[in-house]
Amino acid sequence: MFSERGRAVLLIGIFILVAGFAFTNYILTLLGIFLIVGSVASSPYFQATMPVETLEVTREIDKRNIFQDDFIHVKLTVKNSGSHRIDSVDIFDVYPEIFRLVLGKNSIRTRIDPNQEVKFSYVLQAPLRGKFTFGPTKFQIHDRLEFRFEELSGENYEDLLIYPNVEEVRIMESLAQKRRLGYMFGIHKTRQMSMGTDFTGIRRYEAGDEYRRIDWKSSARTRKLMMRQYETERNIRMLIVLDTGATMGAGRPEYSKLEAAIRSALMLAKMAMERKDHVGLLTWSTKQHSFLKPGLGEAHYHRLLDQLAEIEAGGTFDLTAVVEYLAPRVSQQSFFIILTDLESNRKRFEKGIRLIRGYKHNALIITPFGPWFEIEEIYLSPVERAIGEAVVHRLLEEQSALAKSLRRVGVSVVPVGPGDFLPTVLSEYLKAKKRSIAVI
Amino acid sequence: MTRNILWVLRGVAVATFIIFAAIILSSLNPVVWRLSGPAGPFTAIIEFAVELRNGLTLLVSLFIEIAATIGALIGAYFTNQPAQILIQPNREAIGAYFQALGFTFTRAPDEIGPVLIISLYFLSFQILLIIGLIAGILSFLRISGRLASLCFISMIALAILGAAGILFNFPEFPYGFFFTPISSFPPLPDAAAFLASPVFLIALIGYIYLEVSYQVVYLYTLLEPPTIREEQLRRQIQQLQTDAQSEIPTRRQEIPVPKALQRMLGSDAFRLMRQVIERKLLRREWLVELKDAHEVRRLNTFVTRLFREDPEAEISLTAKAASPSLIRMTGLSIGSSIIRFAFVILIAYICIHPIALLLLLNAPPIILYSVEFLYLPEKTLMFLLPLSLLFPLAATIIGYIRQRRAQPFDQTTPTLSQ
Repeated sequence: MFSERGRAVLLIGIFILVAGFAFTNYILTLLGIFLIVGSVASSPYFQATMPVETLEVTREIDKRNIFQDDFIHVKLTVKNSGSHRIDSVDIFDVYPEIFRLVLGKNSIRTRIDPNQEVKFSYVLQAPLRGKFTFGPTKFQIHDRLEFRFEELSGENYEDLLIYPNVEEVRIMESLAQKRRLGYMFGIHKTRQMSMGTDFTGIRRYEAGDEYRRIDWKSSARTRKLMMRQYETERNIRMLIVLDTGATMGAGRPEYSKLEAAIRSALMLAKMAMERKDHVGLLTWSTKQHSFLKPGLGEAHYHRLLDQLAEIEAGGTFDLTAVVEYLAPRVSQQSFFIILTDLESNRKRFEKGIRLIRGYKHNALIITPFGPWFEIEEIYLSPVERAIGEAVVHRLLEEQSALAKSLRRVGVSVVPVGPGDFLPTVLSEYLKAKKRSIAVI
Repeated sequence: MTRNILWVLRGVAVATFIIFAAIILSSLNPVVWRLSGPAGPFTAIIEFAVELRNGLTLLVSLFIEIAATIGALIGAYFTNQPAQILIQPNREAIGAYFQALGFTFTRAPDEIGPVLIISLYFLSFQILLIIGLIAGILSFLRISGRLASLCFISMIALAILGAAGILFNFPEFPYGFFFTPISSFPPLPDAAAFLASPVFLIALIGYIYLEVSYQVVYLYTLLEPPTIREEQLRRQIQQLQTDAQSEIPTRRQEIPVPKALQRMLGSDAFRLMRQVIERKLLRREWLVELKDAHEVRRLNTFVTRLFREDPEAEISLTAKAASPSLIRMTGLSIGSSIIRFAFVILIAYICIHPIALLLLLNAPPIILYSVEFLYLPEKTLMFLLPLSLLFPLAATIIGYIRQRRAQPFDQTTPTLSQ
């Protein structure tokens, strides 16, 4: 088809020709003819040499699965396997919009001779976890003077799975490694998990106690029989229930409640598995849901990572449906950590909690408070601020009313913000472990 | 090397522009520039300003006339005395008021319209010349197809305006101002004489200017981006390495506080204030800087590893391999331009002198001596329209065949039987 330039030259040619006729001026008439013929003369050759079937494109991505914030190198090879040269082609490789181009360029203008290939590459950074598709590669082929162009598109799509950010997990692993190597001797307490017991203190002897646990030193000091007291560390079965409804994904994608919840869930799972606790994961919304039974081990951790990577916010959360889904699948007593913003149907949520308690499970609700995530760093006018404050108050009232009603059935609601999400989740887990909730 | 070649291309562009502009300007009668007037080169603009004032005065007087008539009609209606219409309002008083404001005629009102148009006509030459020269210089500096087109349009508009001079019936310039009177007669039908005629050569130079400008833009757009890309990547990598070696900012970094403020506040108050400032202002910036420094280090590590593991990575990132050979490209550009010129000249010759082709085809006298082949628009259009439409038609047929080939007929499709 004609490009903007081609159309302009043709129209100018017609105008000059008409002017030549009007003023009986042969210079203008000839120039008009030159421009009209010049603008269309290359059309048949351009169409005949169009490389529709002879253009081959290959995209190479150096890694298929990467973690959030990692870099990838994308290399594109375009080969003209036909017998005609391509005078001018704009090649544009489409990558997911959310990615950041950090080195190189994803487009190029070049010419390709017959049986020749061109290569170019670029480096991207993946700022978000999820499943993304690369492609297609688009071509805009021009003739030499850019009077005509044709657009072609390759059918080369590639999927890439980005795992959630594991920065915290890496830091934790690095600290554990240092501890193992003795670099941090004395900084942290060491738990000898193999023994299965922890020394907790000394108490008075009671009838029936084992004699081998008498602490003779303290008995001599106090002149009373004192016993060494141990606490057995027991592993628990935990199920992380993650609300993936649309409201969880509100706000800037990288700072949404859902992203914070995913990172916390990942860190929690890693920490719990290191302590030999069984961890399961249920992600739920009316649009998409997936379930991983509580388990242990490296393979289980990777399955969990896959599941977290593929989450997309959408639909609504329904805790009653969640419990009905889980009832035949999780029969043993478990500790449910529910990560939800509590913006779903309240009655269904309360019913779900009652069902959980009815099945003898324990539950804890950690709720990212919407306004703290969504209106951060936004400059509001006084009126908007007043409206915002009113909304915050209303939400707080609703949540405190819900928390009050759930407390009656023994379930706590812990509100969190962007800064304290992860520490709160971890500390609640440690508290639960201390209380030996849902032991295996 | 490539930089030098790009400068050579700029040189070619500017040379063609100078030749084209010189030919167009020399083909125009110098009268159009109004240089012989009392204000020298500013004569045209002063004449236009004077005539514009006359035009505005005419508008104002018309307005007064209409307003006065409407006022009389309204007065007659409200006083219920039709005789009021006959009472002339004080037009002289209103006219005197506007004259005091500077709205006065310097010529008869019925002459104002034509003279204003003529003064605008002469001023247009100067405006178009300025636009053309600026666009020409900028197209040389930026190597832009759009600017080259603008320059071409401005210059050709000068020629058209010059030719349009015949519309104004200047007795001393009956053929207008552009290359007169030769341009009003067709070049001779003999092929050699046709090619050597100044009319043909001037038109051809105009076309060559446009073609060469676009070819230069084409070569430039293929050669310059890889060079810029390579330089950019080198700068980026250098910056990356420098930034990666710099120190990570620490939280202990302090905001400088003026000494006067320190003296004014006591030591405890000062410490407290410093803490507040640090907490409020520094924390966020520090976090951002820390993240950036961390990212830079990671990217540097990634790039270093990439270049170590993939030796081709640096070449593909700079797209060096995609940079085409200039000599081959220039050769092909010249070749394709020559072919195009040949086509264009041949068709132009046929359109201007269709008789030559008809004689070659042994056309019967009834066609040879028909009225259509005697006059300019008809004889040219008779051939130009079908010949120029032949190319898009051929392109469409080729495109259709190609599409058919891409979707071959399914042999297994059942056909209707009798």
